[in-house]
Amino acid sequence: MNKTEFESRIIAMQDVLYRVSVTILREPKDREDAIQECILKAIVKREKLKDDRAMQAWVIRILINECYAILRKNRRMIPLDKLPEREAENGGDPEVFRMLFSLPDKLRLPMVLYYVEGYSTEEIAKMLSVPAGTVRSRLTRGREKLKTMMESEEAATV
Amino acid sequence: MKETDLKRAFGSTPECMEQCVVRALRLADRRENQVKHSVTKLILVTALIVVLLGAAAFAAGELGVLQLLSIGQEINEDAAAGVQAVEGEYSGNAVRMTLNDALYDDNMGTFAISWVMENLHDDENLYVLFDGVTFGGAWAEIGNGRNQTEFLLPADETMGSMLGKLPGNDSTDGEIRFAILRALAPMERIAETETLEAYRSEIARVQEKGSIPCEGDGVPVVAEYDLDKTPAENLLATGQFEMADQFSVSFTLQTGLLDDTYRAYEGEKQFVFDDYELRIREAYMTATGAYFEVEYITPEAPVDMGKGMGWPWKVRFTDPDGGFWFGNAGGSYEDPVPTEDGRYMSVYAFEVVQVFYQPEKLQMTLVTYDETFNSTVHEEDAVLLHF
Repeated sequence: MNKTEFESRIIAMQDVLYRVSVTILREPKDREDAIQECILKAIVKREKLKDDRAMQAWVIRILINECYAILRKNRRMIPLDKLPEREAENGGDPEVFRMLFSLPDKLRLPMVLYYVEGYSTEEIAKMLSVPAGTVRSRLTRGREKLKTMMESEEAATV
Repeated sequence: MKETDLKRAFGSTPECMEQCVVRALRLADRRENQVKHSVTKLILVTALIVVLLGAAAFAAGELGVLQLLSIGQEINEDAAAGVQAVEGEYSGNAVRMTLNDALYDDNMGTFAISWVMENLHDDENLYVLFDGVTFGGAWAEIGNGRNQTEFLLPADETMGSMLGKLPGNDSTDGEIRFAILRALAPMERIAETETLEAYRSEIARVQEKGSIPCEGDGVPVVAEYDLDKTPAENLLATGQFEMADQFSVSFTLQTGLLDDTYRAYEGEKQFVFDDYELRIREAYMTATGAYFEVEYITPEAPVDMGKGMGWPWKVRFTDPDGGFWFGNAGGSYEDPVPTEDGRYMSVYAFEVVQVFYQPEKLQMTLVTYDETFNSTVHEEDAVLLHF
């Protein structure tokens, strides 16, 4: 894949990059930093990409690592249990947002990669550097938690 | 709700994301050519600094306020014309702070200021906290900054800068405030961890030794953070910091230096398409910012996305030559109202507060969203606006 085509595909991925960064990082500035670093690294390393078809998953893996690096850095001042609750942005459905972001980090990211971005469990396993079985287990637990949340809310409104 | 509905949580991808991606690609390009170009541009930048600011007390290549309005090695030449020397200095026991340069864009209400801060004690860990800027006693809105707040001050001189908006009280008499904290214990960098439990264990381990845990860039970690207190108050409450200094420096901004950079759009303002119409109410740009107000007229009212989530459309302004022309920006809406001819009109206002250069032309393109927030860019209807 030549550089121009690589760049075009990066531009076409901006929605995916945005959603993955939102899944991990709270602050828009941090997301921009993570995405910028991801793209810079991907451009430099693009010749190491063995399979063009896997380009998108490969870039997302780099992005996830950059997001976690920023997340670790940002834990400096405010412990996670003191952070104010996150809110939906840019027209997102606040109820769906609240339920999704009520999931623990480890469950939320696989759920987004599988159900929102459409990756297979094998692809997600490579992105997260965990076994495919772990991904399937996390998806199962994520679905169960969402189902429990929805059932609780339905019961509350009855 | 099905799992596939989870996409609704995210809303639309903000416009700045595309700019972020393009910026990164341009930066990658520059880095690939950096050796070839950096020498020439460093000479140009240095010459410009000498011409504008006389003998400057910072290293060659260190831009002041222009660093916030320029990208990579390309300086914003339009903004450079408005850079002004600014007087103001503080010298205490802990630090010396000297104002460097400033910029004020009357038309946008945007200002920027830079300074040099010097740690007067090579052997002390001094932590810088920015307390804000006031004009006429009212707080300014703070935007981007460099070396502005929450960092360990190196032993050398450090240039800081910030960009913001004046509070709208017509005052150009400003006051910039800092708190400088002194660490009372050794600072130890905590190891990188993978889990929250491990992270907290690392903090506890360092604290048990009587040291101040900090992250890789020297930022202190606070175990119990009180959101009702300021960052300085939280650090002081740990007992491991003391206030080394707290000061403010006054300055006055010159007005009118960027008036010549104001460019209003005077071209065609009404664009009629098959099933909608766009009308430009107002559009202008300056060396530091830009503002657009566009009406969107449709046969039916735009779909309410519900729960006050905004409207499913916006307009995008891009440089047709592919340049990344702005950084921070934001949009707002007026709700749809019926028109006299039975259609509906809604308004989108888009304000750019950080411009890297003034494009001579912009491409205006409608972007619409469906009920799941998937976007459609109406490239076929893009119009070219000449400024």
